[in-house]
Amino acid sequence: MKRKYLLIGDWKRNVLIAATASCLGLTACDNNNQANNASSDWSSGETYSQGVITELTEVSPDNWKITDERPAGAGEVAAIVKHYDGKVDTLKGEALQREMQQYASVHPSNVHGTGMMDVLMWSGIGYMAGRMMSPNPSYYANPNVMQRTSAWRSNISQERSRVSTGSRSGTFRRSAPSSGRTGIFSGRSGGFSS
Amino acid sequence: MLVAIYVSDSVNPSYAAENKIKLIPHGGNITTALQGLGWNWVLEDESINYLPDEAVVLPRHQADDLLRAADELYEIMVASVPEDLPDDFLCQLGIPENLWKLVRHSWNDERHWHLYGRFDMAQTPDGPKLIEFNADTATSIPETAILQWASLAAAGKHNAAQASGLYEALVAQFKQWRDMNADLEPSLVLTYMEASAEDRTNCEVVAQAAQEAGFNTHLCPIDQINVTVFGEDRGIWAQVGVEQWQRFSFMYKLIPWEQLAWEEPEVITDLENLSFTRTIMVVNPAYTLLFQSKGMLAWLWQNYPHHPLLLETSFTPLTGKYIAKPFFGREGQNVEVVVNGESVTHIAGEYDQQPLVYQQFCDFPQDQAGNLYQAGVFWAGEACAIGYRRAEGIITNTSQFLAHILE
Repeated sequence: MKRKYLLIGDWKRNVLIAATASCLGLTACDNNNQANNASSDWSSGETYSQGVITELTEVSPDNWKITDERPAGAGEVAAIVKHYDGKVDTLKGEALQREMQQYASVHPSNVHGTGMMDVLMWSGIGYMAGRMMSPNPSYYANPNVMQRTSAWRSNISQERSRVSTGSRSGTFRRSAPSSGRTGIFSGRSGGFSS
Repeated sequence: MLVAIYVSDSVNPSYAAENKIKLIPHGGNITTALQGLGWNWVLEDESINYLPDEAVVLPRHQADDLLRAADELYEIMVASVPEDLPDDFLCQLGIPENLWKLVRHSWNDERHWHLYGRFDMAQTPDGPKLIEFNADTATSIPETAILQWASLAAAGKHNAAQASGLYEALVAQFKQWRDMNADLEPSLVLTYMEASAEDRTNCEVVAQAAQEAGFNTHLCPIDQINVTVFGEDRGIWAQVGVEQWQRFSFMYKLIPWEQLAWEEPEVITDLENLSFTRTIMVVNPAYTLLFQSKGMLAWLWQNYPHHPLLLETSFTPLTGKYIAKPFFGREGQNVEVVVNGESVTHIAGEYDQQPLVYQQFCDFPQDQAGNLYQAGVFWAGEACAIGYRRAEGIITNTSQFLAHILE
């Protein structure tokens, strides 16, 4: 009888296991994992139909937060960096890519730090580079800032899945159908875990 | 009347008579992995006990028994459902009347596909016994499919084996579902309650499996989808970008059917409309509520009395020691333990208005500290993975999740 007994050491068996193995540092040198594949995607050209501009602020010495984030045009990816001393830099293009590659060579997966690059990797820019599957509110100045890019993130995720499956189909419109029903369970709190 | 054929062993002498759970400490720290995946809810206070530094050592023959039990239970459940789903059967199982059409429709059309569910079982000296079947909206998918693997991988147990093939089974199920509905665009929206990070993470894993099976996927809180039943825009829509809405042909809902039926009856009418016209396919389909209802446990006992995988269960109180539980309770809420007619334990909850079934009390296996262990066996087309929860008493939403390792 065929049974689903799987060897712990087989971390190539599926994409989530492989990503987790990478986060655990088990496959730090393995260039085939999802995060590494994705990290060169956005910078190499017109892979995504939208870019993103992230503002990072050093709220106290070496303690950074994402204070603003907006979708931008195709190929437009930049970090506006506001230092504690008032100095403002913009990091984009090759300079941004170089910084991220350097960081990624030391930290193959995201870490819990408050340094500028730690936080940048948790931003929309990090999301585009495939550094995590969903954003973490603790790196944002407040939840509203994170919400600003939620539709954008869905879009990126969609495009990513289309790239990986090679299909582009679907029915789209610019606004919600006006006669539709919305707000299902909007009065309820909590989930339905069981 | 159905003829019962029992293929399980009634008594397996290789079980320890004492019914003990063996543990090993493993010290695998998966904090960095959880952070890397963005699954911080596992680390949040309320879930802090979700993955203690111990694993259940599961003898391989017991794992075989659990998986075989899930496959057999699924077969007898399907076989026990009477043809054409008569009204009195649906009444007996407590299926809300406004769902009957959808339940019957989905049951009679195979393209409505049961994606997955989780059998909760007690391992006893007489073999595994069914406690209940979470057929509609089972969670603990990330724990079962990924985290229990990760904790042992982090502990360096690379040569050990585990029954954790849930993700792979989900991919296979999605492929089959897609093939059966090849006339529809392979677009899948996954809906959940926005307030629950845990539910969202369950959806993330399911979405990844669906992508691998060729769906394009989108996660959306249930209150943000748009359900339209008129004109050329008929369908389920969600916003996927700036000024961009997409219509989806497939929907996964981590929302219980009975709650939709009770609290959002107009949505049921809309879903009927969209299902009957093949505009939308929903998993898990409405008929899975037949299996989800704890009334099914009593129905099964009526049809397969003394089946070795079942505990005696009845629509009326039993004698001796038994458990009373509501038809559609979750996570142990409103469960009551009764001994000789007197209530000895009662868990509060929001399901106290529901009809009850009465199930013979069953001792769960224990570890040396006296914790009780419940095995959750996932079924996705076939039995595919095992995950353990433990508690000092009745298993609830604060129970600890434990990895297992095969021996």
